[in-house]
This record gives sequence, structure tokens and C-alpha cells, in this order.
Amino acid sequence: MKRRTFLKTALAAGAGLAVSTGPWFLRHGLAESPIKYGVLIPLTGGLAELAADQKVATEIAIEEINASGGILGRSVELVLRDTEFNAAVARRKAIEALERDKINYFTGACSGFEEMTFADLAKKRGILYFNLPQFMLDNKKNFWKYSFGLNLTPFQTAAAGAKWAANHVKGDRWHLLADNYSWPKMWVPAYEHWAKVAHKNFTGVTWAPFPTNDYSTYIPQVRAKNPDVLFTVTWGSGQINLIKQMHEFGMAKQTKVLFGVSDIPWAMAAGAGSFEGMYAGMPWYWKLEDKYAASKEFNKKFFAKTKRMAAAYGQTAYETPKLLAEVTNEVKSMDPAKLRKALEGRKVQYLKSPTVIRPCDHAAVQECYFMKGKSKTDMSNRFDFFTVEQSVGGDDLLESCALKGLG
Amino acid sequence: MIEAFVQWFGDVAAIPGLIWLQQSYLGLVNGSVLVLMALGLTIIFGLLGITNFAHGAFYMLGAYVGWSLLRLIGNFWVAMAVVPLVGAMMGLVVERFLLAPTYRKKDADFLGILITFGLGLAAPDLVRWIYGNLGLPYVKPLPDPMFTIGNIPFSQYRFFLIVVAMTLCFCFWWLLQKTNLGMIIRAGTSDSPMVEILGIDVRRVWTLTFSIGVAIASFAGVLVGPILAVQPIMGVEILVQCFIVVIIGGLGSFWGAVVAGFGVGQILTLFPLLPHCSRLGDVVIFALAAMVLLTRPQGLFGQD
Repeated sequence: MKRRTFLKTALAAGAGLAVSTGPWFLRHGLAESPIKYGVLIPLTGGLAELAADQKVATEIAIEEINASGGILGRSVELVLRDTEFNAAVARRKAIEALERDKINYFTGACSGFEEMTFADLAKKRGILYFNLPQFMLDNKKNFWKYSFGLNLTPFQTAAAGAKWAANHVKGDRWHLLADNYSWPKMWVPAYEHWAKVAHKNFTGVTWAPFPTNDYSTYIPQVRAKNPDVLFTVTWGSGQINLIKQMHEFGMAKQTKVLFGVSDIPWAMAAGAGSFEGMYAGMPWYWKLEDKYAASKEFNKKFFAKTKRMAAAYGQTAYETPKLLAEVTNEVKSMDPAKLRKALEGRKVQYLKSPTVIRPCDHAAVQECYFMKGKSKTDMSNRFDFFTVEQSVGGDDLLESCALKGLG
Repeated sequence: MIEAFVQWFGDVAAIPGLIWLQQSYLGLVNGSVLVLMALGLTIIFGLLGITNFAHGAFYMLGAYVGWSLLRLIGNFWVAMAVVPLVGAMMGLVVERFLLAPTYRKKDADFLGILITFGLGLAAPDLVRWIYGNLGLPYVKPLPDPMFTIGNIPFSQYRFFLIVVAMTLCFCFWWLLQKTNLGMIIRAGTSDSPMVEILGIDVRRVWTLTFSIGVAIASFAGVLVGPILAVQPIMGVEILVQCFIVVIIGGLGSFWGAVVAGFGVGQILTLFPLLPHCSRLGDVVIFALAAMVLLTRPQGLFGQD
């Protein structure tokens, strides 16, 4: 053998040895890179407290995914970007995440405007988008064939509350107090529909301009309607104020107050016992750990990291990467078309009762839980705001796809 | 259009009188908070000539300091009494170390605006960093409600708020009208150099006045803690309303702040009762402010 040939051979053998046994970064650089799981949420600004829970829940899910072999044999890396609760920033950060960071999965949002921004981007690029907050992409105007979400739709949440009230509350006068913007407006058709179905008198809506931090000026109008059931659709600091003011103005005693949807952070901000005598709907609540072992396990991990119980937004943030990992490993591909086919009609169960992703509109057919607020003395710990009264579910909580124009 | 108006008028006429009464009562509450805030703002401008854009931030800080004291002491009433003292200290520090160095400078007015505007932006972020973005729960210091007229409850704590605000207004009036300090403040509002020539240490008066203004704002913050969400952004909306009040009432005018404060409070609270007019109250107060600026720029009670 000539000397040059020997040297070349030795060099090649040495390089191969270095790659297989050398430092991690060399091996990964030359072998497979981790899968990038993108999450875009408002870590600062409005709803940051919910985004904090989404972040931790996602981290827990990714740890579990990596512990069980990752996705397609590759580890998963979280790529977290702060939308700053601003539409322009959300768009810019999403484009950066897609083009510069080259995320493999595009998920996130904590609010409607982020959801619309991301769905629009996904549509223009022909990619999959998985939404975390309330799913508002299930109508003809906003539907995108590769958009999914495990959270409830506004209509579904309203219908769950109306169905529960129809079966459990005497009296036929229903009224709604809501913030005047697009998200609460999506709830009204459900209340109107179920009022007809249950032969109730829906006396209409008292709209409070958005944002409103003081509902005291609207409560007299609500009182004038003399409702047997008062539904409310509010969020964030507005809801915190409303919780306080429902007690202050005696509404909690005068009528059945049902917060269409609420979450732990708002209850905590309003104070211990703040929901006493009132009801709230939630897609998930930490106390479901009494029924579902997976919730108990999740709560344990979440508490270890944060010293608090997760908001319901944490539930979808945990379940989404788990579902995507499961589906990707099953179809052995990250191709949106293949993932879509596997997701549509799929039955999933992680932290709560089973959920089915409806093929025609990608709405998640699932249960909504109704909570009764506890008094301060009945709370066993600082997160124990509610007892789970009942779960309400079923396909009848959603409008038919034909009605939505989605075939 | 006439039919629509007749329909609208009919809807308004159908609103029960007790509802109007309760709404006016709430207007009195909201007005009380605005009066307190406006008094602090107007006195700071009247004497120091500083447009205090950090006034809303001091209101917010008062609520947060109150919450912290509440956790420490466990008694809302004690916390409420201590907050204005802490507010006064904050005012003293800000005036002495941030504003005072700018008084003799060429663009003192503009520098004052910049500094207070910067404080107004920085304070909420500082609070977010320490307390988080989530609202803080306050205890209910008084049981709800106090009394009912018909079947309409009137909140006990809000009644207390009205009484405290009016008492404070009276005390403030007494301070301005019946004390030497008040006389100096009024004189300084009219002619600050003359007061200085007469041998009065105006620097000390300015510090004291600024501290009093901040103390009142922070007291307003702790007062609303039990009834509104205590959050970093809580000072933003009220600051705008506060400026409207002092524009309408007159910068530097005690009675202007009182009358305009209660007036604006009523407008903002009564308009939501009218069908399709819930946001019109905001438009009306801005329109009033614009009219005052065009016709009587010194304000309804301000001096020429």
C-alpha cells in the first residue's frame, strides 16, 4: 500500500471513529437533529399568567415524549417564542420561527387574534397549525384544512352551559352579560338555540364595551331583566372584576350566575371563596385527578415545577404535543396531509374523558365540566375553588357541519 | 329615523327609577375616585407646573402597597391608613431626586413631562416583575350589601368610599383655605417667584405639595382595591379620565376638580344605562374637554 493511500484510509477511519464516539455536538451535527416543536404564546403582556402554564405543561409533555423515544426516533426540542400579546409581534415571531428556526410543528396562541394570525400564516404556507386556546377555526370563514385544536369552541362551551342550565336550574328567564367583541358574540347563537330547545325565554344580551374593568354600571340593567340564569362571557381582568362584583351587588344570591368559561388564575386573583354560590364551565380542572390517573400524574409534575395547579390552558398545551407525537410516530411522517388524515376522526384521551376530532370542521367533540364554587371555609387548599358538579358533552353541543357550510 | 328615536326614547322611559337611582349612586362612587385623583393632579400642576403622567402609576402602586401591607399586617383599615404615608414618601423621593434637578433647566416643563411619562411606563413593568401579571386578591373589608331599596342592593363598601372621599375633599379644602401651608400653596399657584422673594422656601413647599398629591393618588388606589381588579395596568384608564377632569375643571382649581370629577363620574356611569349608548359616555367627556379647551382653556373654574 502506498503511503498516501494509507494516510487517507487512516484519516477516514479516524473520522468515523470520532463521529461515533466523539462529543455530542459532533454526533448530532452529523447525525439527526432534534425535532423542533414551536410554541408561540404571550409570555409577557396580557394573559401571561396563562401562557406561563402553557409553557410548563408543554415542557412536561416534551420531557415525556423524549423519555419514550422521541418522534421518529429523534429527540424533541422546544422552541418557545413570546408574542408579547401583540398581533404584529406574533406574526413576526411566527415567521421567524418558521423561516429562521425552521420549526417542525407550529402551535400556540392564547387568544383569538393570535389564533387568527397563526391560522392565516399556516394557510398561506400550506402547513399544519395546532391551536391551544378556544378553537374558533371551525367555521367556513376561518376553516383551514390543516388547523386543529383540542380546546372547546365558543359555541360548544355556550351550548354546554345552556344544556346544563336547562336540566338543572328552575325558571325560564335566561340573560347574558358579555364583553362586546367577536369571541363572546360567537356564544350567543348557542344560547338562543338552546333557549328554544328547552323552551326558555332568552331575554337578550347586556353588552359591556371591551375592555371593561368595572361591570358595576351594567349590573343594574341585568337586574332589571330579572333573570333566573345569568350567563356571563368575560375573560382576564374583566372577569376578575365581575366575580367580585357579582357578590358585591347581590347577584350571586339573587340568580344562578354561570360563568361560561373560567380558569384558576382568575379565581385566585379574585380571592379565596370568590366563586361561592356561582358556577363556571371549564374544559378541564385539576380536581379531575380524582377520576383520571393521568391528570394526577400531570398535576404532580406541574406542581413540582411551579408550586401551583395548572390552568385549563395547561391541559391543551400538554395534550397537543402528546397527540402530535403519537400521530407522527404512527404515520411515520410529518407531512401535513398524512397527519391530517390520521387526526380527523381520531379519538384521544389524555387528561380527561375521551375527545373525538370531528373530520368536517376539526372541532373536538368532548366534555365540558361544570363547577360549583366553594366557600372560603370549604376550600381544602388555595387552589380548591370548585367541586365538579357535572360534565356535559356530546355531538349535540356543536352546530352541524352542514349548517356551517362545511359539508 | 324618527321611529327609531321614538323606540329608543320609549326604552329609556321604561327603565325603572330605582335603576337610575342605583346607577347615580355608582356614578357618585366613580366620581369620588376621580375627584381624589384629580385633586392630587391639579394641585401638583397648579403649584409646580408639572403635568404628572405618573399619577396613574402612583394610584396603581398605592393598591399594590396596600395589598402588601395587608398581607403583612392582616388588617385592611391599618393598611389603608399607612398607604398614604408610603405614597408621600414615594412622592418625596421622586420630587427630590428626579424632578427637582430639572426646575432651573431651560426646558423644565418638557423634562418634567418626560420624567413622569417614563415613570408611568416603568412602574407597571416593575410591578409585573415583582408581583406578576395576575391580579391580586383583596379582602372584602365590609360585608355586602348595605341596604336595599326595593330589591336593589346598595353596596356598603362603596358608600364608605364616598364618605371617605368627601371627607378627604373637605380636609383638603380646609388645608388650602385655613392653614398657612394652604395659603402658601395658593399663593405659589398664582405667583411662585413672588412667594420666593418673600423668603419662603418654595423648594420645601414643592416637595410637600408633590408628596401630598402622590399620597392622595395612592390612597385612591388602596380604596378601590376591594372592588376592582388590582393589576399593573389599572392606572392607565383612570389617568386619561383624570386629565379630562382637570381640563374641564381647570388646572390648579380645587372646585374644578371636585365639580368636574363628580360630573364626569356621573356621565361615564349613566350613559351605559341608555340603549346603544354604552360607549357614548367616553365620547361625551372627550367632547366636553375639547369644547372647554376651545372656549375657556383655563377650565370652568380655572383662573385666567
